[in-house]
Amino acid sequence: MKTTAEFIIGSLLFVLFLATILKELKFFGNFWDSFPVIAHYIPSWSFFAPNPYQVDYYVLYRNINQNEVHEWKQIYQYKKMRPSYSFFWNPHKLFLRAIVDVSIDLLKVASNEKDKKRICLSLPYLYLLNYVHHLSDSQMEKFQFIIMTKDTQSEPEVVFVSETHPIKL
Amino acid sequence: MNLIDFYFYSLCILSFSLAISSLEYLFSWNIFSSSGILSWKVSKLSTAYLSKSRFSYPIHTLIKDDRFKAFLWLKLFTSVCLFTLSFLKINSPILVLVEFCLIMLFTFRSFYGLDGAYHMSLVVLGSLLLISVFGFNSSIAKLAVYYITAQLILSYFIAGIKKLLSKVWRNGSAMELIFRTEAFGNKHIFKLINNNKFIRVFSSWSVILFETFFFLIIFLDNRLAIYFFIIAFLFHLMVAIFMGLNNFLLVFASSYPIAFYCVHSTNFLYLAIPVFFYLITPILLISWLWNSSSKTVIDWIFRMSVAGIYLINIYIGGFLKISGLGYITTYFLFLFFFVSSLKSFYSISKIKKSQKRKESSSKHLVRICYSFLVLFTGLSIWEISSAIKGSKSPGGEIELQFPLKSGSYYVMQGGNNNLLNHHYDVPGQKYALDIVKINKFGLRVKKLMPTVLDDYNIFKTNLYSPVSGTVIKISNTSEDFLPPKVDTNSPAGNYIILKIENTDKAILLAHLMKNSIRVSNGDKVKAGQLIGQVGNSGNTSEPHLHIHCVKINKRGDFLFNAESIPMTFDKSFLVRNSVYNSIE
Repeated sequence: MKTTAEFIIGSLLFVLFLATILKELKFFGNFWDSFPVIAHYIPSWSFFAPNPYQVDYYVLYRNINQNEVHEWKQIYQYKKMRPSYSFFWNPHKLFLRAIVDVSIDLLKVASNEKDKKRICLSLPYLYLLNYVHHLSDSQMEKFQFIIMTKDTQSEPEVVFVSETHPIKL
Repeated sequence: MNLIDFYFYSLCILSFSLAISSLEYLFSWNIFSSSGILSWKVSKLSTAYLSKSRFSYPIHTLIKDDRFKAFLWLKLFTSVCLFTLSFLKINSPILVLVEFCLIMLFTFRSFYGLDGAYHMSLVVLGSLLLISVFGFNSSIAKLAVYYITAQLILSYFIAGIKKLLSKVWRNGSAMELIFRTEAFGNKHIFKLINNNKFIRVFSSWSVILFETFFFLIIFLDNRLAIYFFIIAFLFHLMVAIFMGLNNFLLVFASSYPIAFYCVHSTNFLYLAIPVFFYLITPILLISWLWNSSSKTVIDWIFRMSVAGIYLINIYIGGFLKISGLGYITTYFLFLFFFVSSLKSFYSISKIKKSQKRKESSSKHLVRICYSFLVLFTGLSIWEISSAIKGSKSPGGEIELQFPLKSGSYYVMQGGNNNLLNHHYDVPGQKYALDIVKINKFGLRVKKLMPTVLDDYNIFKTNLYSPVSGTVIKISNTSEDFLPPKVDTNSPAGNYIILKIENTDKAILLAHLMKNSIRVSNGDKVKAGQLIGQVGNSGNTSEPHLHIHCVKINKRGDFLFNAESIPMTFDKSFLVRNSVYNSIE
């Protein structure tokens, strides 16, 4: 019994270790997409490589009425400087990481998918849609969001424009 | 060194880190609220396929909306409890299990925002759970320790190699690019590296070299290895200070005590090397063949040749000395290879032209990889031809009766060159054999991670005289040690030297069990007579029978400086990977 448990656990750990390597080598292409939950339990050890994080992602939205289009508003302001204790306590990074991950994933979907409907039904799009919808002015009729990329040395660039969506209460 | 202490060091650091991250999540709860960026309303769509499963209802019920907040509080409570208990050195498998399940739930709640620190906490806590449940002295605890260490080394190695292959990392501009962003950057560091190319390149290469060569800890002694762990900690401290990624610091640090224990208190190196060459490398090559990106038949033949030649190499000359995985593993690898070859051949025509164009952008890198594979395959061909040459007897051999009965026996070392036989360079042991016993599944151990000598099939196996002759010398008092402990003062351990009747040759049978020898100096023995039992005495990696034949010399040296004589059993010259079925 103990020997069986040992073989099962040993094999499982070996498979997990091997899967970690195969996931990085991308041998199986989109294989992991079929098992999203399992794939996210398999470690990913890229750490800013091969392409480092090089631009900031800004999500902006605007509200639209029949004859009125409002200014773009930024959903999140980056802090000028992180506080000195952030090496120990940095809860803001959680929102930041979520926004960055969702934006990057949406841009990936948009570049691989030509069908606009499928983009609008993708998970990152729906996350942003839901979030911006709650930020929007309920007096208004519609809203739209964009993703801009920018680093401190260059001009901002619009990389994604959403459809306009009705604001429903 | 005791695993218990290192277990609690790791758990203490990890639980402290998890307590901080729980507080951070509670502080930033808005991201999970119904109006948050990771709202459950959307998240639940990502696990929609689970709706067909019977587990979907409980999971969805547990983590939906504000109920997840209760889990964060529970995670905080469990982390604090684990931290306190680890200080008091009290093992609580239930609490570790609860904490592990809570961390697992994060993936169900949302994939986004989870990073390498999350994965490392899963690796460490999952392994600590195994240690905690199965006991500190169990084989599974040993496996868990290996797993943490292997993943830690792999994490740095993958990150290092990927950076090494990236132009922006090599020329130092990656550091500049990261530090000029607002999300993970730092104004002061950016100014510093922007104005000074040396600092930029130096810092970039420091990261690359540290990550790529962290694996050296498995080869270094305690004092040197500890510097690697200190550098690793400082590296994560810098990342936390200058990039705000504080979660990596303590989570990675929690793996260091176990990794330190592993590389210096276990035979990790002796397991890691065979696993890498005889399991991971062939599986990677076959997976590469499986991947249906062969564009032409020539490309397919190339891939098949690289994988196939390597497999033949390890089948003929390979040394599958992996606890619990016998030589039979190669047959599974061959099966996987044939299936992959067929699969990839049938998919050649399905490759789209657009994909061909896409891949041409990384031509330079592909050329380097292909050149390496050509060299690698050339080396494999050379090894195969050497192994074939080494499997032939040099002639002048002596026919013996096989000294072990009732079972299948596998030759780990044996042959006519040092590729097949590590004894070859010692004149007296040039044609020596190291033999182990295998079961019907081809395994030479009863457990994946042997913890006692009885776990090895050959231990205590009766030994019969391979010849008729006279006992010249015996030694019967050396201890049988549990691997990896060895007795270097007495290389042969307990042994019997038999003079073959009517010849000037002698047989040496070594590494026998203490007090198992049933003959004395001067005794006459007949071929097939019970003379002792196989043990693990002397300088030996694991229980096995060492046998060799020498010409008797005036010096009385039977072990080192003597003329070695090749041996045959049933007229067969046994070499590495030979299997002898003894039916008597």
